[in-house]
Amino acid sequence: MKVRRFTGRVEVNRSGEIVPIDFRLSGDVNLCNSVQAVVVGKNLPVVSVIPCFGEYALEFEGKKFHPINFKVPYQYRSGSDTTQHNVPDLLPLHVEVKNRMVTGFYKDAGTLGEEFSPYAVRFTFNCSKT
Amino acid sequence: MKNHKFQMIRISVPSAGAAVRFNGETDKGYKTVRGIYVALPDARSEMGSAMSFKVGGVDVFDEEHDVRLITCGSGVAPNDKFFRFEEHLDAGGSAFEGRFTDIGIEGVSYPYEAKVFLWLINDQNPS
Repeated sequence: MKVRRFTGRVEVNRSGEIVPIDFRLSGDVNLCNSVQAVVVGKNLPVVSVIPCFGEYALEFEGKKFHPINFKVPYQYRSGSDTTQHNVPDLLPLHVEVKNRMVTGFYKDAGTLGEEFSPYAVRFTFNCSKT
Repeated sequence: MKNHKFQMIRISVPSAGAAVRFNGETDKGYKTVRGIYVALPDARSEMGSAMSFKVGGVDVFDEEHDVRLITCGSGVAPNDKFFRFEEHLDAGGSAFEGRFTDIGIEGVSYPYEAKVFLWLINDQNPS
């Protein structure tokens, strides 16, 4: 089995913004096994914990499959929750892909209010060729 | 025959936002790269730092691969710390290369040393 991992990134510049997602997976895969979305480089100055940054939805094969509608996980202010967290796993999908287009959107939850500053969300796809 | 080896790669990160290339060869005495684990001195650096990795000519992680997906907290048992590859990756003296990109998050002290551990084994089909 050949495994390929892809990373896509969206930039969020305004509170409550809806950012379209338009990724293309590599040509040598035919199965998307799992996905993960995480916020990049955000160290909240005031709010200690927030429930989530936003939510996202992904569609495969030109909206033929809509397997996931999920939130981007919360994180702690210091990022130093070092005692328990395991190696993060990805959300299982197991979607067959032919045209390898991934579309959808990310929506900022607006929970940061006046503390908002631009950030990015990184999507990781674990794919394979069978 | 020796079955396991944990090979360490040291990466010196000089400043916030630095992108540091590293390369080397896996130990010749082992057939397979079973897993990888990245250890950072400050967990805040995990919040967005990225690392690419290529071994034996195979692109394992792309340039933006999130370090959080290949690390874990200090409370996790040593044998559970590793991200285990589901595919077979040849070791046996294969050349590896990669680039560690620091996210430059506020509050982290520089310079620091990131450590990448490769778990090498001799079984072809590990459980």
